[in-house]
Amino acid sequence: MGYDDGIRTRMTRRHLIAGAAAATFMSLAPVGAAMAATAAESYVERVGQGVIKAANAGSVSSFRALLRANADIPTIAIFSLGPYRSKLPASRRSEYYRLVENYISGVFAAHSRELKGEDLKVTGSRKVSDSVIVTSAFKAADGRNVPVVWRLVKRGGGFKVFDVNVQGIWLATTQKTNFISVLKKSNGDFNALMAYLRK
Amino acid sequence: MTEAGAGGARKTAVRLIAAVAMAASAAMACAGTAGAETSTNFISRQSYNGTVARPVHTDGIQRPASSFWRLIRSAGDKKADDSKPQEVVVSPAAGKIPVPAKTSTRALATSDQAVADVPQTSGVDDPLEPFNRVLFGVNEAIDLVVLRPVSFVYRTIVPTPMRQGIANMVANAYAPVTFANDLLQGDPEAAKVTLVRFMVNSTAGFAGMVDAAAAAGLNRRDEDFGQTMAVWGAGPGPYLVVPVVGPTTVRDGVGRIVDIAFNPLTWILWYQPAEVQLAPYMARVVTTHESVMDDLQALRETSPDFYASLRDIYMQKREADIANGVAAEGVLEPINPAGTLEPINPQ
Repeated sequence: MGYDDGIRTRMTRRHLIAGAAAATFMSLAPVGAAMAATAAESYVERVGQGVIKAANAGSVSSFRALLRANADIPTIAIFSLGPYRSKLPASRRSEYYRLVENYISGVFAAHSRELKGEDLKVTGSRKVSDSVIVTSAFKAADGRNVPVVWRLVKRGGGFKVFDVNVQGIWLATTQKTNFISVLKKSNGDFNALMAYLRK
Repeated sequence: MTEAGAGGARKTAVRLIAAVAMAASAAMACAGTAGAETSTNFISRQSYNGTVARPVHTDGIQRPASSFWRLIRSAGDKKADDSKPQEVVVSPAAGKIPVPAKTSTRALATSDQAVADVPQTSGVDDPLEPFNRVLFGVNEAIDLVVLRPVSFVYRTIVPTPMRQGIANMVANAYAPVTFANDLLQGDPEAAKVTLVRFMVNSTAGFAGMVDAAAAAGLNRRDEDFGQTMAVWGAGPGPYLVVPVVGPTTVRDGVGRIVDIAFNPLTWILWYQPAEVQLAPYMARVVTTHESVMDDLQALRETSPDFYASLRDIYMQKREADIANGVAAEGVLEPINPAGTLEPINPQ
């Protein structure tokens, strides 16, 4: 075996090892994705039961506790500012997050009667570039099946809820439209938005 | 003008009114989601600050006139605000969710320097916003003066089960349009369901008064030519507010006119007097408006900007309709568009 042959052999072996590693990685990737999807589905099932429980309690505090544990409030809050997101002073962020948490808790509590359901069944999930989408069917108290889609983000080794779609309407997107409207009307004054959230 | 010419002009006018009426009912259905469903109720209350749900006016005509004029004035203010359009290139998020075709990078910067570099006001392509807002004010006037009183009277004198029956009948009459669009979308299974539903409801359902097919698990799904064009790959085009019709897009507006031709009633009633020709379309407008009247009113009262909220809900709902509600994630926006902020989750 000459020098060139030795190099060729080593190269071939390296290629083989690299190829095998790549093949193993590629074969495991879908498994990993499937596991993540399953974890996301289980997570949504748990949160769905939590929503039904909180709806039965019907109080703002029960929804606030649910949101604090399961919703990515800072991300939702910043997303809701749309183009104004970079204008929020750092010194007011925590106050703003708290107000958004109260706002969403209040919205859910005000709709607790509609959210009282019998069950939430997960029907599927898929990974998109920056989040995981989980589809589900919410069986309302009157027996209707309402399609609900959840958008999750990965946080701290688990998931948090970023947005929820009820019958085609994304709640965070709608909230963003409202917040932007308030800011636009007040020429970007965050005091106006804070006042709107405190109402 | 000759008699034949006058007749032709009358026919054309009737067709135009029919197109407007059909488009109006579809737009209302989209904006309010027909049938007092959970989502719109939820969204409309969500627009409020959330701590207390405001009572919904069920009569639909108790809103003070002053708020209407406030709306008109705010539309005028908006127009002034948006008088300095400014094109800003927004970097799409690399490797993020594909931005929907309707998303525009056009910006309408406000006059205030503090927000002069704001990249965009919404994800909806609305280059005609100032003009649309004026027409929106006109539609609010029509809604206040005509549609709400008519819906209120209809609700008052016709009992709920009868209204449901009439709504079912009107929906059943629309089935041939859905059937044609099912086929054009290359969905023979859906076309089969639509056809069976139409046959069952037209016979066992007493001319459509009873949705007997739904009891057998054949649920209704409306399709229109706007959705068909979307399935074929056409984007929505700019958002439009059309007098009487309300919210729509260029694609959906064209689609509604095509749907007139798909509707057998157009041809069956071709030689009838104008009022007979228009009756089915007017029935659709009234039944649809009556069913979404409360939701629209709640949204009107609680939204900081009713125009923007309605536009947002209309566009989202259309995306969901096009996807048949299965893939409602069609309008996903990137959570953190590139370059807009450092860590989005500072916790």
